[in-house]
Amino acid sequence: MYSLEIENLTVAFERFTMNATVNIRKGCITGLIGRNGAGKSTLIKTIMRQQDASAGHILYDGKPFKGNEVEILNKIACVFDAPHFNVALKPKRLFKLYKSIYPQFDAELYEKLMQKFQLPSDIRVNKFSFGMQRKYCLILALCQKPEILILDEPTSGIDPYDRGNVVELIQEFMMDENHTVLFSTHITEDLDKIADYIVIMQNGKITLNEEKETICENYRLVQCAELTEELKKYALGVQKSMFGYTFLTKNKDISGEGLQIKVPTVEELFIHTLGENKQSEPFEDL
Amino acid sequence: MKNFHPSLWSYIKCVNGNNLNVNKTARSYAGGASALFGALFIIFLFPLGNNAMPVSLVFGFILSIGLLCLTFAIQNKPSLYALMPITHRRNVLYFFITAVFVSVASFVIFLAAVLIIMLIVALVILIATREWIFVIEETEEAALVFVCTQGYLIAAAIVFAMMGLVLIISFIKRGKLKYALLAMVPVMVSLPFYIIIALTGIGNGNLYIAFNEVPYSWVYVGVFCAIAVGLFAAGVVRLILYLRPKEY
Repeated sequence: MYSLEIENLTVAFERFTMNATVNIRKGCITGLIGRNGAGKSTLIKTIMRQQDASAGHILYDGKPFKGNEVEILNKIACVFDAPHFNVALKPKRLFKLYKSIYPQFDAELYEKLMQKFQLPSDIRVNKFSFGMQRKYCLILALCQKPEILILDEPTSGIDPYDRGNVVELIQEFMMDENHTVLFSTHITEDLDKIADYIVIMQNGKITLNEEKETICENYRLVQCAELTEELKKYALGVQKSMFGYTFLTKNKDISGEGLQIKVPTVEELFIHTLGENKQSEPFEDL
Repeated sequence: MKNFHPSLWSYIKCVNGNNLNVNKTARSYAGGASALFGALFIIFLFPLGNNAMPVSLVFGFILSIGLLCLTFAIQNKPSLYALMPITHRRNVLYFFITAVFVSVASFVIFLAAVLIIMLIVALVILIATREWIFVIEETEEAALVFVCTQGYLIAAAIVFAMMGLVLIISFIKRGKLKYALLAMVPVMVSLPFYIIIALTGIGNGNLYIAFNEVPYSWVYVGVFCAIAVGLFAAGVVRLILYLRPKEY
């Protein structure tokens, strides 16, 4: 069962074209990663109907947007890369505004989260630090009581302590099995903790959409001093450093003298498929 | 009103908030709309007397509303009003009412700015050129009317020029030349009008009288009204298209 079914969604700019096909599973946290300019924010804006697509379609819980817009907009919330509300207002006024807009807005949760993150209610949002603004955007999104939560780098600019709290909040949100999270981030450590699925975007296309556990099971990260011809056969995304070579491999039985083998983290997966130092074939060939 | 969701006032606050704080293009348009409206009002209030006043008011508002609709329809940042869980029809209706509200509010702000500058300019003229005024005007009352009229016009011209300039520069800086050209149209139309007024006024020695002697005044009114109606139609159509549920 999918919360979002995105097929051949095309957005064309002058120097960039996004063409994405991806299904986001219900009840799961899907991590969306990719380099800057890969199209992550464009994909999110298009899902949120803030960016027009020239082709393709999206189904929200199996329903098209047209004809179901009120229902869909009530069950979907998003933290964009920048606040999409009037930042000159104070939180106490925004609270009233959101309460009047979203019928199921949870005032109790709002108060609780404002206290948890120690955010003042009587200071204009544009006077908040970047991290505080991110936290406030997340609070507003969560209090809308959505079923689908879309987050565009919600943890960037947040200190490690509160980042842990944010990750915890997302986990709490996922206690309900009908809830879904699509989480774009560059802090892959967060995805290691909570993501169920990993989606990688590269040059406007989805190049990987797989369960994190499957990735962990199927791939190994190998470190070695010398890259022999034998190793080259299995090596994917070779990175060279002053200490030797690291690469990904699908060969779980790989062994040899001086080889250090481990399960890759999301960050390692990301670096080895998209890094500058890439020496082998692109990830879609994996 | 209680059954309305979301409440209209919330919607106005949200749209107006986006207008002032989120999107700079929107802000430029709002500034431009109020400037153009103010300019229309000022240009046609005096020269054509009572006949032109309702025309300038109505078409000024039409122009302003059209520009505001256009503003929000072309903005490229996510905005709260476009995400509200309401039907397409209601969203357009709410937006339209909000545009009327913002238009009136912009006009009041513009008028206040003009009046403040007018007072300053009138005071300066009164102090600096008292003797010169009495040469032209026979009575002190007539001199006062003349000074106020001049002050009002100069103030309006300053505010109009400043706002128009900000609007045009902001578009050029963003590389949006077609919008800059669009914003320049009313300025270009009004500029010869001002020049004719000034030249006729200097020739007659009295700007107030000169207004009524401006040739083809109603042609200018017609051109402005056509621009207003055109932009209004473009703005409303674009807004309806922007807020409608997209096909994908």
